[in-house]
Amino acid sequence: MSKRGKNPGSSAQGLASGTPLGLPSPPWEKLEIQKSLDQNIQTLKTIFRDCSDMVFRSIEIAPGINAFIAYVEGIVLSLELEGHILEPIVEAYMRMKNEHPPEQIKAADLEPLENTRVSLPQVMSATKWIDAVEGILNSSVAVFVDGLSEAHLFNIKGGIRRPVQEPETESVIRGPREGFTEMIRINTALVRFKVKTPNLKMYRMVLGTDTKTDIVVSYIEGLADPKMVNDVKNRLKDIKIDGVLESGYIEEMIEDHPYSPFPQMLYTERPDSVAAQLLEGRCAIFVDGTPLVLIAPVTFFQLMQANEDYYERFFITNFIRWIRYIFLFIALFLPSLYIAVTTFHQDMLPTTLVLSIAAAREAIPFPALVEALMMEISFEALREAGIRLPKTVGQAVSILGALVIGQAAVQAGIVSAPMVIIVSMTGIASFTIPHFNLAITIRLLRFPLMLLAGVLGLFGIILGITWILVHVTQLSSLGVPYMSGVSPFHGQDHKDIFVRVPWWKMRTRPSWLSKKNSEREKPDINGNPVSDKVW
Amino acid sequence: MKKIRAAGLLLSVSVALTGCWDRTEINDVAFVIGSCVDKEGDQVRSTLQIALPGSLGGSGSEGGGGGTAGNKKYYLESKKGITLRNSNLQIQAGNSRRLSFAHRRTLLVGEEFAKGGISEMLDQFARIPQNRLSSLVAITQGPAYKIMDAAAPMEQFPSEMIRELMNEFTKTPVTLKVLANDLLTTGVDVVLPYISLQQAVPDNIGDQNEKKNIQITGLALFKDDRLVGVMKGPEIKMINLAMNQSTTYDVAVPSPSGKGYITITFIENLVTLRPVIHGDNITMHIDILAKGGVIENNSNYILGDEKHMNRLEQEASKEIIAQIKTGLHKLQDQYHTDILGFGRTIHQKNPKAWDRFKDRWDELYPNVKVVVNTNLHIENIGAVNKPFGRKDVKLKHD
Repeated sequence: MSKRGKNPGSSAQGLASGTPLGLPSPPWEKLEIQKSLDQNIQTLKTIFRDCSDMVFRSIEIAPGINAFIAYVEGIVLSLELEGHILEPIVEAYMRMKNEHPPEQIKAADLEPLENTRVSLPQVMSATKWIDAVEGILNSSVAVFVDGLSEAHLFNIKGGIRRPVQEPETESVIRGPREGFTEMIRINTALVRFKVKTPNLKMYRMVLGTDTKTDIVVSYIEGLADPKMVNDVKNRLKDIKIDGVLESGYIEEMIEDHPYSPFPQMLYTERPDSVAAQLLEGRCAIFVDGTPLVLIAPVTFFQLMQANEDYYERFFITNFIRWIRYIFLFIALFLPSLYIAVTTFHQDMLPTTLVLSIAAAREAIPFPALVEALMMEISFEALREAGIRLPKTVGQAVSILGALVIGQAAVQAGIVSAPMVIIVSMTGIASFTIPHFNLAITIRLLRFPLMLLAGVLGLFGIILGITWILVHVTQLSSLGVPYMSGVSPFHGQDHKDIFVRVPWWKMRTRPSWLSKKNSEREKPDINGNPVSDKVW
Repeated sequence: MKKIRAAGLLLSVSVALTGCWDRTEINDVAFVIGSCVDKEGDQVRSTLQIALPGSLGGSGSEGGGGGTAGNKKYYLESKKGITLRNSNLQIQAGNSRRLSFAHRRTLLVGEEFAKGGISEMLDQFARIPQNRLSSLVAITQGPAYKIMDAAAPMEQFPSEMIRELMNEFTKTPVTLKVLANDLLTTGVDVVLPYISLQQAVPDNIGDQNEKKNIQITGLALFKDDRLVGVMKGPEIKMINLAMNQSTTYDVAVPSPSGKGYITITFIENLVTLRPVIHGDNITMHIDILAKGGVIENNSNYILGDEKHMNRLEQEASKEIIAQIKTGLHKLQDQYHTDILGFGRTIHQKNPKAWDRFKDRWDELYPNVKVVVNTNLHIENIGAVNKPFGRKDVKLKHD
């Protein structure tokens, strides 16, 4: 379990303080809503002074009964306002007014209003200002009725949002095309479409004193380790921050080893990935406002797997997976191996190769280490420039980069042609790693390895490998060892580490995740293709 | 925790303190790709063939280069010294780059030097790990450095060419390791390829510099570590075969029909030695199993049927046996060297008998009787079975 203390006080409502962290509490924090409508209007306008996006409207909902409506423009579905809120309210008050004399209406009879006609999913009433304000800011329409010491809150979240589109960062050839959006309800729905069991839990909490961001911890009850789920919830509850704008905020706050370069959670834009992870007993953390959903716990090998691995036939998958592992090593070691071999161990290369490298390096002014660092850093710069720039300019950058680094530098005799090959091989190799956060880690680790290789040769590389291995084996993600399957070794889990067995052999879930309930295929087909059965 | 971090920091600093002490950039290394050992009076002359990366034509290196003379891709540097290492050191003294012997392709030993014994030079190769034992060793006619500078237009370096030739010539080329192994094993004598320069084209044509060609022309025969003779002529191929070292070999068989020859190439062969011992009478059976095909028939003999093929196989056997016997006769009676490893074979197959023979093997060896058994299969007679380009009337039908 985590070392972080528990905080029983915070609930699903999250942090209720309505002000930015560090500011004194506002004077209205403790105030209650008054019966007098005028007084309430006054308070409301004071609270939301200088908020030009606020809409205030006074209406007479029944003869003699005045009401006041407040909402933030743009974040509510204004179209629903008329038909779904105002009309039923007016109708309800009219009916009550007919049934009761006007002086009696201003009583508790009005309170079950939300149960009557308003056909909206979320209707609440607030008696304190703080709740009313929170509701308004959270896409609710607040209706204050004269003589009623509470506000009706109708949640009609709306506004313009990006529709469900094909994920841009994780494209597939075979597999679903839909991706998450910035709206958490759509995202949870996309997963619920795929996993239709009441055991799929969506535990909601609110983080961020100013942003009040919805967070949903999702897991399948019975599959996910309850201790692990509690651990996640507790860690999330401990977060005290002014705003959560992206899942990265949360990832850094709750990961097991904040000082490790290795990612201990994976993020995905794809509902099918999330569903698959949930089915294996992991949990997913949805964050409102970002299409990237966090998944934990993960192992190193999982970060080397793409979701298409499970959709494509297993021969192809295995071939591609091995290519990925080969290129993982290339991405990590190729530049340092080149440095070590050309500056310390020329005797290790075949004669013709060493002579052609020597020929290419003959007029190069820099040592191999400097040359490699120069090229690798400019490659990283090129990549970064390509991402940050507007797409139209990006192309110009890549052409310039190809010309300058690829050709001109060689012709000018500043870098050698073999080094260009090494750098481009490494670049391609790092793009084969399916999860970008692991790819960037590998790219980062390349630099210390290059320095070690430049100083100590192959011995330095071995030192580096040893350090990386020691580090990686003692890492964990939510308490699950990072190298699970290999270290600690579980023979049975090798069905989905370096190879992927066909689906009819994939009998169990990873053993490090679900200790109980690990079977995922019925015994009458397990271990055999369904077509083997005599019908 | 803080202490651990501080310790980690200090340790990482220590990496930088080492200061790259073994580092040699690839352009500070002189790659020795071939070396020669010769005798000059009491001294040893060492000649190194050093690659010139500047003239190897890597991209971006056009402007640079190591100040080469002419457009050769290597240059030779030669010094005399009291030992081989000593002469190498003198070469190093006159070279701006550090000599690296790890990529030496071939080691050529001059005839004169080899006559005086090669053991003394071997120590230097084995003692330093940077001197790879994978260099191929050959004996040269005359001084070795002359061969090292011969024209090798096909390859970048003459030493590379010699290496390729030797790889072609034997199944397991003699590396320094094999050489040392054979020197130290009892019951087998060392044999090395003998290299000389041959006229490549008639005198009156061609470029003057490229008229001489490097070629393996014989077998250098050793007794212990001394060169005792060189076997030349057609039988070297068959002796090579008897040593189970032949890769492919051609036999030109006189046509059974009389005039002309039929040439057979044997592409697969396996040769085993089998000693039969009665007291001090030793008979060595050389069993040859070979498969091949006809590649030339300039006679009028028809190869079409089985009878003819059997006849041809018999003729080929006769030819092979005759040549092996001629060669073995020279080895046993003239040079007294056991390069086929008869002694080793007896040692392996009949250790008790070897215990009796080993002290007087030198006396026994010339008297070993040799029986050659052949089992030849001519499997392929090519695309035409009748002699091509002859009219049917003239064909011989037995």
